[in-house]
Amino acid sequence: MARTRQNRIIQQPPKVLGFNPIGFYTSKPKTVCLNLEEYESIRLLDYENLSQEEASKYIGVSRPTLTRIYESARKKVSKALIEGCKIIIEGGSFIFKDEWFECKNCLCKFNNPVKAEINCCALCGSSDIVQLNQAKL
Amino acid sequence: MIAIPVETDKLNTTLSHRFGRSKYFAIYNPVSKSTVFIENVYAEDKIRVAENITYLLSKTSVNKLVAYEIGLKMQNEASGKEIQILIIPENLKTLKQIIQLIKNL
Repeated sequence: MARTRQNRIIQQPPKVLGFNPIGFYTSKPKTVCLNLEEYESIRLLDYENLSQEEASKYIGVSRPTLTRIYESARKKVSKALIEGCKIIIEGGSFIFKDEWFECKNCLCKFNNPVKAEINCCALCGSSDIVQLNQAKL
Repeated sequence: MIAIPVETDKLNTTLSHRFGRSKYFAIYNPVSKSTVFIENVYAEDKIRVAENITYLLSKTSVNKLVAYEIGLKMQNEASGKEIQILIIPENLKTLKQIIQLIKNL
């Protein structure tokens, strides 16, 4: 039996759930699903300009594994760009580094650095909050 | 105390999109409901921006910061000082909107 996949560490949840292509198309666009660790690899390597060695430590995987994750991410993004696919960011084998919550009232996302009990939104005080974890994304 | 990155030091200011490079921080006290502005003297620096800004904010007893997005280094510095990070949606554009939400806390 194959070894179970280790959870990848995600620093913060993505701002958006995905992207839609703009332009004329006759039928519904195909969808590319970018999982959270692939999103995180693009964020750390391309946006934060980390080296592969540094990024692999943040995500909690070996450098070759990070390379594979990043390659997969780039292939999916290039497919979406060239073929005009929607991109949905969800799923994967991951855990968040901190506890993250989302308020359904003001749409703010916030973390819990002191590990206190969280009952309401840190910005607006609404009790309509959900904890973000693998089941939710 | 809550740190909010802003474009100017006026109460009707818009929020800055880049936390570390904002010109000012509005520091809102939810107890006294007052706002003070501090200039971000590290906005144009090339190195140690996150570390210096965290130190600047910790001197004003900031325990929460509001941002549209937060960089990795700033996030690590904030976590180290147990400063809570609030990522807000793009429809919140002005300091007044943020203060109005906080007043409901």
